[in-house]
Amino acid sequence: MSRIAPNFRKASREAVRNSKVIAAVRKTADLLSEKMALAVADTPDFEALRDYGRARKLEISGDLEKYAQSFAANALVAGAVVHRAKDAADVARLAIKIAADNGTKTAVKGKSMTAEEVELNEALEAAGITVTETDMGEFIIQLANEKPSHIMAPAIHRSRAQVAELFTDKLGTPPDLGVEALVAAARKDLRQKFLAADMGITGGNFAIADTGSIVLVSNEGNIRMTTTLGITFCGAFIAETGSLAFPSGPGFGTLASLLPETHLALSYAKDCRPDLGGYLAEFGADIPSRLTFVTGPSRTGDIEASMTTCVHGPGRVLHWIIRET
Amino acid sequence: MRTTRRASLFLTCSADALYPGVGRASVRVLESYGVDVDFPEEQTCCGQPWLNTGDTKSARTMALHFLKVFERSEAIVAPSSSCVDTVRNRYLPLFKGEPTLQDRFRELASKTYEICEYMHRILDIPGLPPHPEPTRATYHSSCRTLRGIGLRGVAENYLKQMLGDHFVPLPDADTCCGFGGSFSVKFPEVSGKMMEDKLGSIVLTGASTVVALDMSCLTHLSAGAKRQNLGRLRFVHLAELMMEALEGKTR
Repeated sequence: MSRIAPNFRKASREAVRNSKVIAAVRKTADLLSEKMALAVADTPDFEALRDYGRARKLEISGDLEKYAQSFAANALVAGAVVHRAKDAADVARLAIKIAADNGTKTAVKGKSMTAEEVELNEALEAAGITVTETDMGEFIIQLANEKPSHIMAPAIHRSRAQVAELFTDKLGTPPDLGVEALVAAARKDLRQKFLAADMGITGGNFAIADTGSIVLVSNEGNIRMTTTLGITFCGAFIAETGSLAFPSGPGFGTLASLLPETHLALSYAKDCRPDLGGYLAEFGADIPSRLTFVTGPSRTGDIEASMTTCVHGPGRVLHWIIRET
Repeated sequence: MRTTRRASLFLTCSADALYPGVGRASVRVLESYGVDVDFPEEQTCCGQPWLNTGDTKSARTMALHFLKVFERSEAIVAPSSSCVDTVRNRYLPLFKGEPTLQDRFRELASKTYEICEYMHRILDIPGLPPHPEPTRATYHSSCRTLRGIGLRGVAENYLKQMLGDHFVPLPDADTCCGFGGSFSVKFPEVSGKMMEDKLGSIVLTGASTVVALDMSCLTHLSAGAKRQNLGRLRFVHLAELMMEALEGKTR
């Protein structure tokens, strides 16, 4: 069994007595709930959406095997390989085998609570594979050799000052850096890891049974860099959100790397769309196999919920709109 | 002219064992609006503690007993959101694959109410008289009130009518007080810290009365208040203030 559960009571008892943890959690939790309140206020049908999401989850989890089989069959058609694992040990065994078959020595990883639960990193490390967490919060707790304390904000228990102390200790940064400098230090360290990695590991926020697609959501852009390895031509740009959309398919090829510091995106003026929903609706049933939205430079809020740009790639986004004459 | 409404009081364990006054207040409030209240004496706990600890087998036994006791009632009214939430939302999944029983539990769920919800939704009471001796009061909106039975603003509205400016909203009102049933037993340190935070918010309002629709939360908070020597705080169910307002005198 996991080593988390038996110690949870003890860990919680110690955390409650630690005034630094209390202060850090309070600060970030308050900020997050303020942002939540704003987001809810901005969404007129929020409760209806929440009820819909809950009902769908309950419905699907009640018939999970059917959906899992359908997902596996459709992913197979799309050219993916699907393994079914029966427990945590089985996940570890499969992951180690896949890594070994591909000669993997190093891996970069996106945040995944499933991987945390099955203790995938520990298993891979024991098999001699170096795993680097690339989500800012996970990167921090991996350096500190800690477990995530929150599913969305894994480093919620650490203040900016404690992250600075950790970075000085582990990465040799100058003492007491601010959030931006801390993010820049992580960026510098992580870019080398991205380039050198043999394998990328992510979770899957949603698995779509009828297409065999995995949907990955990320605000930092680390997921995109973990799953792909310039100058790009975007398919559309969304006026409402200021996002650039990159579908895969004829005329776009596989996504070019978004690792370079500067991302120069080119588009025709005619490709402007007023909003995201309208753009997605254009695809109808033909959603491309990959669809990436870039909304400004990569960013993170993993240190005290302070939004800071330039954590992964791209660091700078230049958008050139070509007017056809 | 419609016939008299009838309701069965589902007293709940905490009112039965610790706060009989809450049960008496519930009856007097309902009767003052002409509701014919009965009390089925065979009633027991709804089974929530068993559900919370995953003992679904025992929970089924409790649910079936509850069904037997209350099935023939016109309406079931309880002074507790969390017990109502159990009957309304948590019985049904225990009887998957038993459509006949599920229909009966669905029917049971549709006529079980928290008392303040019953007054608002069924009796359609738009307003309450002013309280005879209003003191500054705040309202703890328990988790099961908000997230269980989805009751927002109803109790607050009644409090405003009874107390006017003496009613002060609680900061961070939608945060748990830390009780959480067996949570407080499994993780007493975290539970205690959450309780301290909640008491801190209460003290900030300057209130001398704390109102809720769940006596279990109030047991948790009042024990904490005693330990912190906040002894002057009065913890009451909304039904108690309603009774005082309707009868024109403090208990």
